[in-house]
Amino acid sequence: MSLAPHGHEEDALGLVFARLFVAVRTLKVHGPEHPLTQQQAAALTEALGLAAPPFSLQFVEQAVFRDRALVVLSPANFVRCRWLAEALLAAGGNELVVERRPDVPTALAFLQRLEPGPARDTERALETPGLRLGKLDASLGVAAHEVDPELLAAVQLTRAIERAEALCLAPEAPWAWPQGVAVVRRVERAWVSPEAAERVLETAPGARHAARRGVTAAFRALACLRAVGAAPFVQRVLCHGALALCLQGLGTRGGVPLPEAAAALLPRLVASQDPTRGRSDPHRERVSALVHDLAEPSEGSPLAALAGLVTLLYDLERLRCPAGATFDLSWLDLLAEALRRCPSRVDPRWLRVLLQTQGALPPGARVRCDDGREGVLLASARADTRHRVLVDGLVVAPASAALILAGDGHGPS
Amino acid sequence: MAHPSRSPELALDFSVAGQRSARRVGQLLDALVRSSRVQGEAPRGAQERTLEAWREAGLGTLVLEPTTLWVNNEVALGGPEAEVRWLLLAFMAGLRAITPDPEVTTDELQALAAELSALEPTCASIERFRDWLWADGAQGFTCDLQVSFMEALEGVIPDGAVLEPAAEDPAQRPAAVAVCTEEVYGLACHDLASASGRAELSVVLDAADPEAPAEPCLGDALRRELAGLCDDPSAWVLAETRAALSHPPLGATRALRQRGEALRRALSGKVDLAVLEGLASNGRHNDPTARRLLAFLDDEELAGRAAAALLDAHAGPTRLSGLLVGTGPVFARAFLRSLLDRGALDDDTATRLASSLGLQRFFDLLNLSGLDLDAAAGLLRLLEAMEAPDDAWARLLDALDPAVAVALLPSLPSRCLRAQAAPLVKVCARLDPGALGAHLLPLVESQGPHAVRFLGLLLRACHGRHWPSATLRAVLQLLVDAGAGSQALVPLVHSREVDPHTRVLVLRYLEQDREALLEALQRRVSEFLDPQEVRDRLQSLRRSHGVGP
Repeated sequence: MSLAPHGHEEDALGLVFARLFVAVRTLKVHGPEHPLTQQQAAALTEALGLAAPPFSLQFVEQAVFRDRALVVLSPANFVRCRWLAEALLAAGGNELVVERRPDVPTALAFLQRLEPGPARDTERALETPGLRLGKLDASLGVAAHEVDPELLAAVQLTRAIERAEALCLAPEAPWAWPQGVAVVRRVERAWVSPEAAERVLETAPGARHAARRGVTAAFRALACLRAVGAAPFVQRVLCHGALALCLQGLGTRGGVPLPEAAAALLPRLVASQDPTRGRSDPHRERVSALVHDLAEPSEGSPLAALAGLVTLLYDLERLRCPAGATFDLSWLDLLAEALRRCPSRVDPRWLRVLLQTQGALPPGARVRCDDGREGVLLASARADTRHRVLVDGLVVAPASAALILAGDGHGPS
Repeated sequence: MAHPSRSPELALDFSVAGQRSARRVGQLLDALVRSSRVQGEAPRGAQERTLEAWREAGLGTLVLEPTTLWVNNEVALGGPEAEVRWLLLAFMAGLRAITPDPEVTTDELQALAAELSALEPTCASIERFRDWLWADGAQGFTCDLQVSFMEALEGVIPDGAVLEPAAEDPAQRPAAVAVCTEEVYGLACHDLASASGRAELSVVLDAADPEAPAEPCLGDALRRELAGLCDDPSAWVLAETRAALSHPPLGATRALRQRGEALRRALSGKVDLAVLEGLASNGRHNDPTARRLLAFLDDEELAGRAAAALLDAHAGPTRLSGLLVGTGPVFARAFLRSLLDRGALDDDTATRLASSLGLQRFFDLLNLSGLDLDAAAGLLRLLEAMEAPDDAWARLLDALDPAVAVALLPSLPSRCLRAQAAPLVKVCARLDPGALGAHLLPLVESQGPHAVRFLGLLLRACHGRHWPSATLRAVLQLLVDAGAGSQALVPLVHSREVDPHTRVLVLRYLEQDREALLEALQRRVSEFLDPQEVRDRLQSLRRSHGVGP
């Protein structure tokens, strides 16, 4: 039940909405027994038949979807759909399931139930044969009408990795900018729950292929730049750049050095000219400028600082899957290695930022909770969440936690 | 909406005016979009009228609703009965508001109209438009972009293909589900616990402060520093230009004027030699884009800083000449002048620069009339080193400040005096005789017979006017001693343009050269028009030397 890529044009559904609208009005004016009303109800059943049931209509925000694929409406039908959505919502639902073409009495009954009136038993609302009203399953939503942020983040990253895998299929073709942008937008959207995103990227079982490593690098770039308050265009450019470089250079275990990956990627970025992208494309220019800077580093390079971040993230992902080994390094292994390389081969400023994105305390650190108990930090506190600390096999959320420094009498054994 | 005002009538007027203004913006914008759809690009006049109308409306924000467009809280376009297709499609893409920048141009407006006109009622088209907005494609505008309709669904309905909570066997669940449950902690805590004891996690990042506690943190100072580096617009425009210089297709999508102005602002801060030299190089190869960008950089102050930067980098003549050829005239002139002022134009450098530029171009770039004596003397040496054509000397002297030109005379090479005597004479004849005089004798000392001949020509050309007496006498003596009386002095005696006193003086010196004197004493018809003083002297000399009546 994934989203259809191209959606549905209104065609047959437009006829349904138009006739539905007219039928309700006619019913209101003339009542259910009038021949005109009967005629409109018959027209409605015909339209529902032409729309090839069974199908379902989802009314979300101001949009309507057929079987979870967007229906692109004309302005007139858009207005009618808004009315229909409000009517359905008043009747207790936001999804209409048409199981089969209804007969005229069924259609009339459905129309009558859409009329505003006294409060109805919502559980039996619109239970006409062949026409069923339901509620969309937004499990565990924060506001009970949307997907739980952690689930949303997990879905976005999973989809992002799938799209990135498609980009890996043509390693020498011109860079597919629309697909790259789609991956980065999903990474952006995954920010709705950074902790869940971290867990998906780091602890989900599965192979560490280039797509996953690329999305990981893109997400970490986003995290670092958000931490310093960089402008959105900078965040997007670096996400896209980090993604593209990882896809280009980490196709095999061990990968290739960053300058080599950048040099191989740059012609692909230059060669791609999507005629549908329009004349103005600052994002492409900036990503290309960043990759050019990495491919041909020079003294006084204007993007030297940002290049340092991309270098850090790329090198970490490259280290993750060492050549000639069958195991992958964990995120903490990589952070430790980065610390060892600092400051000669790693920009200490960006490493600080990267560690900061893990929370004020690094994950895996031994901490002391406010009640004196010691444990391992799983996730650091955010604006609206507490620390999560693993103490004796149980996850607790203390009000505060302090790092146990090396050399401290309470330090690790 | 009601407009605050002092009186109801005035409020009504304001309201009506506001409505008209808003409607005009909406209708013109809609016409622009339709015209773009039909013709590919709307006529220039239409673009300008639309922008003008928008300016009259105070460049107010366009607020998009599914079927209505608002400007300044007034309906600009659409309404319940209207059918503005692109409006709904743009709304579906997530666009909620468009605010033009104060310096928005017609090109940028046309780009926006073109994208709106390309919207089709398909998901792919809507997503493509959203991509374009998301990637800052709407240059000149600030867009309020929210989730698109497609993305809104994902926020409401969990994606069943990824999440299938109905699966009972945890091993069958997609990986993403597993990490969103408590079970993940069982997987993660083992690694975390073993890593928590690592010594590396206690390493201090700040190598300058080994005593600092091992607690990674992001202080405000560091955050500001990094944010400044990230968001520096100059850095981006310079990086983009560097990339476009190496790969021209990359620079084709941005309006040239916009790029040029951004580049000028960027370089007003710090000089980026790679960009300047790259542009100049491409300009030399007749790259039209590079040439047009260089026109934006045709600035004296930038040229001065570029010269300073190159000298600090110990750039050789090849690199220096690189910024002289291909750049704009103001830049090149100021650049060369800056090199001169900083003493960087030694003979070798100047020769190589002039060779690569061409002598005429080199002179054109130098403000010759502003050169001092040392610099001008350097140019003379340059001309000699380059074996410059003969006419270069006269052109140089002619362009120099007269006082400098006079002082340079003793430095003129003999071949110059020999080959270009006539043009040089013309030049020198315009110089101040008082100043000239101080340098003429040293000229003879340095250049010998050629200088003497030159002096004779010069004296004739100047008619000896205003020459200091001592100088005149010395020159006359030199000419007589050199046997140039007949060529140089006799014409002076016969010329009515020469001061009578000077003619008499010349006759006195000619008495040392009998042959020349006899030639001077020959009777002429025009003698009757000579001043009395001269005729008396001629008569006296004829009598004393036995020349016929």
